[in-house]
Amino acid sequence: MYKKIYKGEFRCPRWMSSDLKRFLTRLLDTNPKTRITIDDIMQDPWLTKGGLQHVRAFPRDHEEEDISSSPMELEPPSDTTPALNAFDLISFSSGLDLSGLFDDSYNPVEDGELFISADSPEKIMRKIQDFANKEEMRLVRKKKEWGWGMELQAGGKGNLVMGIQLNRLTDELVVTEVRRRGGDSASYDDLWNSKLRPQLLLIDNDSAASA
Amino acid sequence: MESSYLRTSSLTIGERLCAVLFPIVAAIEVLIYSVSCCFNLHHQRPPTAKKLHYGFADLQTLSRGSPFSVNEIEALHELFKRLSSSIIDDGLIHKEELQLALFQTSTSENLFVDRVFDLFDEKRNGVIEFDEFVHALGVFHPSTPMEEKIDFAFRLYDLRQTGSIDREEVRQMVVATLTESGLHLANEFLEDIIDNTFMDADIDKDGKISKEDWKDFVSRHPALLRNMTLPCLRDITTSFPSFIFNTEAEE
Repeated sequence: MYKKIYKGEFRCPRWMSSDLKRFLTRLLDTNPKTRITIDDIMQDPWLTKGGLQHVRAFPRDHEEEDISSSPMELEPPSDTTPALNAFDLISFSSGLDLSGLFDDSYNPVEDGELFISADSPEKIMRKIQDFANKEEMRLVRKKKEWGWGMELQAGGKGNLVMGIQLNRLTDELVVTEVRRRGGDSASYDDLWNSKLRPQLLLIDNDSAASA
Repeated sequence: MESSYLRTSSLTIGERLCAVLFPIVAAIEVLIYSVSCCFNLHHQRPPTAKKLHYGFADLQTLSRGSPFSVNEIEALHELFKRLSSSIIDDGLIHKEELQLALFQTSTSENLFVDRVFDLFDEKRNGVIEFDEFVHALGVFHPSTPMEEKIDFAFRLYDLRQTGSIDREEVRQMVVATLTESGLHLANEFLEDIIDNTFMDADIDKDGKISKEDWKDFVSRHPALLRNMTLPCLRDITTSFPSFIFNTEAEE
């Protein structure tokens, strides 16, 4: 099958409309220069005929909840949720993240960071929310087993997706993991290292981390 | 003619002796070596011999014992070829090449990369061969049963391979994780975290996490195995499409 795709050999069954056949031909064009682009796809007659108005860049996860503009009420995920255990922490390790094998540009050390602070999760989340609004990014809450999971999504900045996971470590400390989940390294670096990180670390209580 | 005469006579007696003896010694060495082989009753393939060439039938065999289709094995082979030639082009993945692939630098020492490498290197010959590569990656496939992932993670964390995970090993791993991000926690915080963990995980309260303890622990906290699954393995043929140039698969 792969050989046929490569050569552009395919046949459309009879029940397919001519619009659809034309669309498929444009999609399966073996010449990347003449092949249909994403923008053209959005405008293709076969797609737009049914009244398709707007194709979302990010699939809406039913477990997602857009909290960019909602007031910050942070009920903890569950009262019985204990703090992170050692193996949770260990599983954040970059050395155990094998995705780097498949993605040349992914560097677990540069594309992800762990930091610990003595501030409340609410304060950290509020900072992130403010940041999202200022940079015009979408902040969604992600359902997680423990802690608070979020994603910062920026369609405009090359589909950058930043995953943020907040967890209580001990009674005093909260650990935050930030990781690039989509988009390119350069925009992530710009957004995280130059803009968001300095703000979050400002509220970081250094005495706790180095005590 | 005079100069060449001078050159040959400039060799000392000692040097001339060596020049004669070296080939004789070499010949004796070869003789001894070949004779000693006669005493080797079991003519096995030396344990360090590695399989370097994979024909289509080999790839099919590998596919059958793994969650990957033959096309996916071919795509993995493309990846393997790239990784194994990054520093030493010998068709085998060395520790430095794994470090390079994961961290974009071959010089950083990382406790976890060491463990991952050891677990991939089933034959314990210091390199990862393609069949070991496929076998280990198979554990990370989304469709692989949990038991295999639980087992792999346990062996990963059992740093000294004692059959159980003890406090010192947990502490080492937590410190290593924090150090990656340049973090350092005070001892009391560390002890708190480890205490909490052992209270939850060490069911028989013997100060160690046995395989049974671990299985139970993970069933209560499945998110702990988050890095034992690589969803990108499902799209491996899209990530490495160059395999189609070499594929011998019918379809």
